[in-house]
Amino acid sequence: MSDPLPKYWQSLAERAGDPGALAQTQDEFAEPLPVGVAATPPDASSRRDFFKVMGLSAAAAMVACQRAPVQQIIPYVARPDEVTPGLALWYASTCNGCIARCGLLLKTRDGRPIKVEGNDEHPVSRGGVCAVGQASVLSLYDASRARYPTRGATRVSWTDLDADVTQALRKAAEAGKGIRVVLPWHLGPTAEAAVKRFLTAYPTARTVRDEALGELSAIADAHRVTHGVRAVPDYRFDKAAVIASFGADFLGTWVSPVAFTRQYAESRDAARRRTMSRHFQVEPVMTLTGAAADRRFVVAPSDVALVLADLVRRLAVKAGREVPGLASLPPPALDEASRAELADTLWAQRQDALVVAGGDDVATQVLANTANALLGNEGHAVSLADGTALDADALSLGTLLTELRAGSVGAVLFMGVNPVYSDPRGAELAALLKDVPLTLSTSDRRDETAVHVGLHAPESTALESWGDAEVRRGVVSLRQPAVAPLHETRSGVESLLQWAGAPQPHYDFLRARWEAEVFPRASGLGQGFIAFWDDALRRGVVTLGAAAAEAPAFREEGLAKALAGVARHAAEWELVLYPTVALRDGAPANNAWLQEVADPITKVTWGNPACIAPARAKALGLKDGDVVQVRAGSTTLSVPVLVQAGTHPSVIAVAVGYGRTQAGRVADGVGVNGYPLSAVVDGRARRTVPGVTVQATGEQQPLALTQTHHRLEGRPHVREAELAAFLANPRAGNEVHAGHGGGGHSLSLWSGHEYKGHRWALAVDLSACTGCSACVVSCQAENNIPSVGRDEVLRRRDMHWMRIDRYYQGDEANPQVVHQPMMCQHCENAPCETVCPVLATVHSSEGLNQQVYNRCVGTRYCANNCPTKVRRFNWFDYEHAEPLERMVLNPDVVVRSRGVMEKCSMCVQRIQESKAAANREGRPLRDGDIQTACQQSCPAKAIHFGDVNDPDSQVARLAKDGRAFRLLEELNIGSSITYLTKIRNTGSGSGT
Amino acid sequence: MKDASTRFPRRALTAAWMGPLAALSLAGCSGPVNNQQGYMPEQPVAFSHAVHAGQYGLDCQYCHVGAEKSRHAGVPSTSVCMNCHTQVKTDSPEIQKVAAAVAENKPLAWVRIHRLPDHAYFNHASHVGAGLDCQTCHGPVQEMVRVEQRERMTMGWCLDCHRDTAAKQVSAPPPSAPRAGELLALSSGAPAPEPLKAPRILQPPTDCSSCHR
Amino acid sequence: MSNQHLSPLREPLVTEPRTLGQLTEEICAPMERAPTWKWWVAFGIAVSVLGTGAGIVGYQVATGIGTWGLNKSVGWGFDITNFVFWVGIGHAGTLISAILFLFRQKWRTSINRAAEAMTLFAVMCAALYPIIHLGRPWLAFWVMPYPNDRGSLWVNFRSPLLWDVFAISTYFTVSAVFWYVGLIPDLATVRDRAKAGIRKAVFKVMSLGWTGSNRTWSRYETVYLLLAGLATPLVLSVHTIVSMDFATSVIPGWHTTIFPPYFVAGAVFSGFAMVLTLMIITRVVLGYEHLITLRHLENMTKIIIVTGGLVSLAYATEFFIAWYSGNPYERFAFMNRAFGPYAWAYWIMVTCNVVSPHLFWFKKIRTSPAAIFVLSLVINVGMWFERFVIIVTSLHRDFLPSSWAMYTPTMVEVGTFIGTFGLFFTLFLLFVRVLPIISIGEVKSVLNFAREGHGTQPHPPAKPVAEEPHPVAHRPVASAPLAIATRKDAPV
Repeated sequence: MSDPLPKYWQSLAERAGDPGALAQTQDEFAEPLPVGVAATPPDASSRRDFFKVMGLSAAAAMVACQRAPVQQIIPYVARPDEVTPGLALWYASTCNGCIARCGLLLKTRDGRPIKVEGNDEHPVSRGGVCAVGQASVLSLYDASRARYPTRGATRVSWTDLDADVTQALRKAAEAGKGIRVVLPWHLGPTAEAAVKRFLTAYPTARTVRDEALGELSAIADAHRVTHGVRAVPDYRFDKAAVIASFGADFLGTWVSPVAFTRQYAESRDAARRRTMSRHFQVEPVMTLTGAAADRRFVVAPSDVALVLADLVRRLAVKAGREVPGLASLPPPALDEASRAELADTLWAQRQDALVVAGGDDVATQVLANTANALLGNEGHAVSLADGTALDADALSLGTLLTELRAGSVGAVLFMGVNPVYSDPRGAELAALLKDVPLTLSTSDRRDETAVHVGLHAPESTALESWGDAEVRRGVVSLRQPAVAPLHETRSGVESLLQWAGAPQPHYDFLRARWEAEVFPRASGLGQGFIAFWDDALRRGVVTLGAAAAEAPAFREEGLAKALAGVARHAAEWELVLYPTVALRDGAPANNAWLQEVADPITKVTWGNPACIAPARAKALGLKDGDVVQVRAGSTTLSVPVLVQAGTHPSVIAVAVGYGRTQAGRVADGVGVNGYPLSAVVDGRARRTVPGVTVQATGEQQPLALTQTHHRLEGRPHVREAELAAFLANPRAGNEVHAGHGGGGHSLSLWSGHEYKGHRWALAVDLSACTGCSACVVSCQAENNIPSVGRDEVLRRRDMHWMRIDRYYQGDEANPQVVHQPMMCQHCENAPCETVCPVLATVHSSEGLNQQVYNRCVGTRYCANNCPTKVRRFNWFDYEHAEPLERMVLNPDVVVRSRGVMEKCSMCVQRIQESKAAANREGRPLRDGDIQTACQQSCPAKAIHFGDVNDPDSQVARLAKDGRAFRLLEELNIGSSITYLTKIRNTGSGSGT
Repeated sequence: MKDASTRFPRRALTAAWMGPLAALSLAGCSGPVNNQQGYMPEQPVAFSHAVHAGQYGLDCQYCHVGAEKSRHAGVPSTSVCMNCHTQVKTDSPEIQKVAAAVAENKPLAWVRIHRLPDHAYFNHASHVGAGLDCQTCHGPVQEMVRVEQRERMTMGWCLDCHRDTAAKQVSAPPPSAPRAGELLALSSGAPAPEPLKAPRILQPPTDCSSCHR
Repeated sequence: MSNQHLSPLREPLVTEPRTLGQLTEEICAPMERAPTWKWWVAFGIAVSVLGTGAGIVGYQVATGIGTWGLNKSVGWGFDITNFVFWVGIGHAGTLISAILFLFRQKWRTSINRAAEAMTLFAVMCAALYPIIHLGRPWLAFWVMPYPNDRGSLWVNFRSPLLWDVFAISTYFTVSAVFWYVGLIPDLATVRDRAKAGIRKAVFKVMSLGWTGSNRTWSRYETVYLLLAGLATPLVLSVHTIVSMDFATSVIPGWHTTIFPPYFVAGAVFSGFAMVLTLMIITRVVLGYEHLITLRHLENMTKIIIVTGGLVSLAYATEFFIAWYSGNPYERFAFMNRAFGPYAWAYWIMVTCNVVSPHLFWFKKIRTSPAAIFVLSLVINVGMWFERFVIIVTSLHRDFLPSSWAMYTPTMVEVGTFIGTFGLFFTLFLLFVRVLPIISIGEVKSVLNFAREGHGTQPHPPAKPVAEEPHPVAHRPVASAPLAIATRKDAPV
């Protein structure tokens, strides 16, 4: 250090001899380094300089990469009063996913609907929403939706389109040609009023009602035979002590599954009621409802009506009445004892017994009505008086086809229906449409029907438009938009009014009708319409104090004629086309959430296999994934086989709703379309087709299953008890748990966690859970869980944080089924927590097992060590291909990147939000303030969330229940999830 | 030379630390460390907090309305500026920029200064509700002509405060506004929610899921 | 050394008569001549395999770990199988070097260098896996505890993976140092033989100023002994800790206390098999049959019989305990191993590891390099399958039958695995070219004349004689002439 002056100047100041600058050169660092090196006196050690340079370059590199790109904040110019960025806004509304019309709450964030929840105040759906309803929010952002009206394939303005339509309609009316509006059965009172307005404007106009599944029309038409009204009664499963369902999947897809599931769960709450309903199911293929049944009889499809006829005959004998038209019917292929048991059990409860039938066969429905009439349950378990009347004057699609062939139709408007896809005569219809001067569709996309029409006037989705519904007499619910239409679309009602020459915004029309017709029915409110209207908007539903109505009486006159068609079709193969819980009739097919949710029974995603009985598969040498060719008449279909327990040996069952060709990016080409195989009997499409042929092709097509092993292998993960045994001993079936002392020998290496405040936990009632999978989709929506697609599911990489395990036990020809919702167990001694090298999964002070995505490096060790295999890994970046679809993301939950583990967080964002709200309001949290996404949507209310440290909470009570058990207690993982034993009422007397 | 050799071990030790540290901090760039302390970008309008919050003493929440009830404090909508500036200082070119924005219905694009990574959730309402001064995290904004990020705003910085607050057993101020439950009770006649027996002792969470979810 | 007593019962370790000079010449020859076409072919293949492997790894890192065949139930497959496999291979080198050194097994001298190199290369191949198998490999440094500004976010010292990080890096470091220290006298020899130039300069630096003086040798021997003492527990600890990745988990088939000794035995078993594979090739290719003699091979086969027996015992014990524990999950896991969908893997493992070592009871097989070579490969295959069976069959069917799944590796995984062989052989071939693959200094000490103490006179023995074990403290005396031999002015 002989010469401190540098040989080279570093700055002009230094060169000029500025003493400050010179002083600075004494030390290479102008500023002290944070690690304290610069604090030591400078010396001449070259080694030190080396490290200085190294440190400096590192610091320089840090500075260089520290600045992230500039982000901007763009505030409103004028903020709407109700919007506070960061706060959710909720709208009460009504679901439009199916005919059930459940009450909804739509959560919007910064103007975007992001989540659908059930409306607890809705007296029918009572807070539940099914998978389809949950997924409707994703359909809103579906990039394949039509974005503007078109003529052919070219874009037109609404004005041009309206002018075209009005002119063509006038011309048709003047020429005396028919104007046909093809509609679904249920539109809601206001939309029906708009239809009426349209019909009045054009005298030649008539409605045609089309329903892909034909279930509702079968019920309504049967009531026309038996009661003289085209109506659907109000079924009350909560009032039924005995339920006999003949192929009606009322927990899954039939009429109003959410409401029925709630009612059903209540009638089977043995713990609270000390009794429970007994449920018989007679069906050819396993449905969600059949899986829940106490006694399930597997019969051939054509035998279902015969078993029901036999039941009617027996009930008639008991009632001492004569039922015409039954004498000639052959006896069904079901043993005498079972038939007698069915009749006796139903008769014993009479008024509190309920017979329902599914399917599209009017005769079967007539038999069900007759059985109910014989039981005398009107006003108890079934109420036609409280039901909903359907369009009595509507024509059928068959009639429309006849008219089209005759050339007497001048205009066909398809509104909310897609018969070219969903009807076996679709191809013919498409061809006939070419000759009609005006053809129009209002579907939300250019679907299979819309590509065959001249004009496309896309309708706004349910989340963008007004509407209403009356699903039970006196329960009127309101649908309000949660967002302005994203595209140039218009509500169907507005279109109809426009074309009827009475243009009016949907909102005005709706409100005016409510003022004129709904408000007067609301008695004893003592308030003006505005208050009534505001209240209706806020609650989403009004219950009108309706005076008891007289139900139309049962008539025997038409019975014999109606039952004439009932016969046995002994055939080697009978094809059953059935709807699935996720896709229903196929309308919501272009929805990745629904495609990816595993079917609760088959566990298939992204496709529809042909289910055949294990015995039949064995005889034919077929196994899962073998492609067979199904031929019905001249139509053939190549479809992979799934060996499905509980299927009748003569049946080959294919789900409908798949095989779309014009639905969009997601659905096109997924699965096969079964509709064209339907039979047409008396102008009606029938989804049960006797006499099909099945031929193996030798090809293979793997099935994307989320669960490939279906038996519990004797493991006590699911426990169950017979009702009688349970009533005698609340721990019945759960004796293993007692052995573990309800927490057991808790020797542990760790000192354990201390919870000073809350300790969150879940309880899942296996008795209530039907496996409907609403929770799975709800969880997916809430937590930004990606849909991974068929290929990834095939690789067993489904991402759902919540899944429903389905196990079979007993005879595979007709097994007993259990569903077990499975999510992260938030273990006390979590195996995942000890093994993560970087502490990316740790225990919270409130008992949650937290996964910290941004800390995760992705060793997957935690997932390996997870005994319940609930952890999900981001194998790739699952990007949202369409920017529009990103709008559905929940801003309160991070979107995980590739390479990190994720899993159920017990909706920690909801916990935080409620805690913050309680703190803000200066009050303690109450039990029920926080609801997890799965809990909220559960139609059966099988899931309970709460604080087990609060002894009064529901979840704490359930954790101490006799039915309570935890998974893998012997591992001493200390699961936070309590499962409650499943109680069955098979009547076999002994519990296991 | 003797002196140097006796000092060598200490320096070597320091140096030995420096090397890996430098390497790690280098690598740390790709990680979540996103310290923008001292960041003071230019804004589209030369708005001075020193004038508004300092000189005139406007309450922070007059403009940042979300701070009390939402995750986001929020940047005021342009129309809020015009509450006063339709009258005040209308001839200033900066105000004219704002007025033009309102007239064209085109929002101003402010440059974001305080920014946490996307995977960190921060709730303004919880912190304001706990009685924290805005300045605790944002520095003396009322003195800033152009706003800058004063604090480190790293995870360690957040946690230090959370741990410190818990250790000191600080209690929260009573809620200033009537509680939501009380409001509802006033209007509907339903019983009011039970009042709190004792002031709430702040328990700022240190669980990962408090901020990462 | 006139006081040295030679035993007529011991066979010589070097079977051909060689002078010190000849030996030096012979061992240094491959480094000093131009590579043969055979080497080029081998190197070309190895490098292209390595390049392909690197490309595949690059693709995998860029695209995501989803390019592997893993799934929600089987989170580890080829990756950790190969990791454990390579770590196992990396056992024998240090074992041969350190433990055999401590036990005064002189026969180690001609194979220890190559075995140690093999250890290092195998551990490098192994260490690759914990990094590339990560979902976000660029954040692998998070497993190191270092000061940070995240509120002292630390690592999880309870995690066996973290123990692994430390165990393997320690093992690698100590093995590398041990190897390097052992190399120093030879590096000096090469330095002294080299003409001026880069080669000379490099070896000059690398030999750390070795003079071959008596004092240097004395210190060297002490350091080497200490390092051997340090390395020995590490041989045991590495695989013990690797086994804890599994043993400390809750998964049936993993959660067992037998794993540490079982894994160590398995590692020695596979390590020796790999040493045999490499040595048999090397001795033929480089013509070292007199240095790496049949006796060496035979000794190693004997170790294989013993460790193979240990491994078999472990298999049996596992089954017994699974049955004896009465734990239904454990029982199922083992029945599933033997009779489930991966039974083929299990029975390959049993055939290779339990049955095949017993062929070494036959002297004929034990002394046939060809037979040994084939069997060593068989054992390597078997040991690979052992890891595969442990990892995959335990994971694919664990507690909840709903999550049972199958695992099929993809081409990316297979390619990565083959790529690690490319890495291994590339490094090994380079090693063969640039460093003396047999410890010149140590082999000289087991030459017959050295043991007879005849100093610089070559003395081809008329009949086989063996050395008497002598205390290490005497080594400097014995090896003093060697030091002279390495000097520049020595008559070599």
